Formats: sequence, structure tokens, C-alpha cells
Amino acid sequence: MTIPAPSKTIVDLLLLLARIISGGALLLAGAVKLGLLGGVAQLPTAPLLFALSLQSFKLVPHSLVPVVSYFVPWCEVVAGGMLVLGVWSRQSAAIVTAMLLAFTLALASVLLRDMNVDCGCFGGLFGEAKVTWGSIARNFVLSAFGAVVLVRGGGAIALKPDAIRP
Amino acid sequence: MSVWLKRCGILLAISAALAAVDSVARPTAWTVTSVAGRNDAPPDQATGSPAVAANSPGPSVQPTTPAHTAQWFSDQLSAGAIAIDARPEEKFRESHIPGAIHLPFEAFTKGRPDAIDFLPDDGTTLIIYCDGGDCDASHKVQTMLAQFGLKDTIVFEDGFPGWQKAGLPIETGAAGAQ
Repeated sequence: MTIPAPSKTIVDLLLLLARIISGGALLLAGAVKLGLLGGVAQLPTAPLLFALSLQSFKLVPHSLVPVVSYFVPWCEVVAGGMLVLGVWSRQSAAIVTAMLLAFTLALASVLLRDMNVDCGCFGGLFGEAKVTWGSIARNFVLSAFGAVVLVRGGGAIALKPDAIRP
Repeated sequence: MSVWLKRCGILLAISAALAAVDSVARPTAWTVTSVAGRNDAPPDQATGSPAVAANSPGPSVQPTTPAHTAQWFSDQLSAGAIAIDARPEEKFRESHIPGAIHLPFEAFTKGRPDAIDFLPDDGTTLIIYCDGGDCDASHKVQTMLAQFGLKDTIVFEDGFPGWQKAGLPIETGAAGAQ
């Protein structure tokens, strides 16, 4: 008895799911960090909240904190949004995966250095106060979904299917 | 491969452009120096004090000196200063400095915290504390308070452990929680 290989349709649907999970998570994280979901009152100070979290990790040079605190959330929104929509899926997935792995390493370094700092994950949307190994595992799983799209392509309902392999 | 890299470059360039426009368009501009506040911030070349931009909305940095002991903190409270507890809620409920207002950093993620309504902006000194040591929540709360116009703030570096170590009274429960 042989196990039949999954049909192309099922694989494409799974790839779509992977796109939505990894891209959607990053899109949400970026939007919250920029204050795009929290109403106008939150807009002025939202990037500052992320900058303060970033600074407490002590991984980014002091002078680069403002630049990074604007660039990273917008990168999350752009790459995450493109991945969900299926525009240049492989390239979007490459950026999403790289960012998630970078976040994972940053969080791991916080735990390994035994630092008492706030997570800042998802802009504090889920009230995740401190960095835990659970935060790291979550990021790792999300990056795995991104890596699958990077290798296999966008799958179903991709606005701009990408036939170019890396 | 070149097309592949080009597409990645375009995505990153779009992100950079949006970030640049956003940083200029935000109603409240802030600079790297307004994020400063900890004593480990790069010192100003001329004064040797933590750098704060002239146009910065950041806090009036009053770094804790050796004189800022737990007893000094207690005396300040007796003279009318207000204590702000920047620790997580479970720690605040467990014990805190009597009369302290609970205002953790996370409260700012939902916009303007209600607790700010209880804080006077008439020059009353606000003393912020967390867990001492490398705990940075009090510095972050200090920076956020400055964004809302409350700049007469001091961080008590020794934090709640320093208060307890001095044998000063503590309070339990959620009274004063935001």
C-alpha cells in the first residue's frame, strides 16, 4: 500500500495558509508598532514605544535606534502584506523569514543575558510583558512557515505568482 | 538571481521610503536623544551629562545621584511627591510603596493611560521606580510621561528592592492601580 502524494491543490492551499500565518503575523506586528490599529491618539507615540523596547535589548547602536524603530515596522507591514497578498511571494517570504529569525535571535540573547526587559512583541498587543522561551518558539514556528513559502513559492490565490527560483 | 535580488531591494526600498515619510509626518517628532534617560546614554561632550536634544520632548533628565536613597525617596513623598510604580500588575498587587500609582510601560501601548489623569502637572515631582538593577521600565515610563507633558520626573534607580532593603513600609493590594 502506498500513500498517495498530496495533490497540487492541497499543497497550494497549505502554502496559502503558510503565507497568511507568517505574513499576517508580521503585518499585524508592524501595524501595531506603528499605531495603525490603535486609533489616532496612539499614532504620535507608537514608534517611540518600539524604540524604547529596542533600546532596552542593547543590540542596536544608540544612534540607529530611531531609524530602525521606523524602518523595521514598515518592513514588517510591506513584506508581510505582500506575502499575504501573494505578490513576489518568495522575495517577501525571504524578508519575512529573515526578520523573524533576527527577532528570534534578539529574544534569545535577552534570555541568555538574563535581562529584565519587556518583550515589545507585537507592540504589546497581547500583553506579553516579558521575553520567554515561548516567545522564541512562536517566532521560530512563524519563520518556518515563511521558509516553506521561500522554498516552494506562493501557492494558491497569489496576486502575482512568482515562477523565478532563487 | 539578479531579478530576485532586485525584487528584494524594491521591497526594502519601499519600506525605507515609507519609514522616512512617516518619521517626518508624525505629529510628535522625537530624536534619539529623547529616548535617552538612562545613565548609560552617550554623555554630552560639553557637560558630560546624558544628551538631550534642545528641541526634544524628552524628560528633564534628572539622573539619580547617590543622594537619591530610599530615605530621600521617603522624605520626598512626605513633602508631596508622587510615587509611580512601573512594575507589572502582579508585582504591584503583591506589594508596593504606600500611595504609589501603578503605571506600567505596557499601559502606554493602548494610547493615553487613564492613570495620567491622576498625575498633577503643576511641578509636583513624580518619582518612578521598578525593580532596580537592570530594570528599565521606570526609564521607559519616564520617557513616555514626557511625551504627555509630564517632565518633572525622577527615576529611583534602586527600585522597590532598595525601598524594602531600607526597611520602609510597604502596601499590598491593587489600590492606586491604573
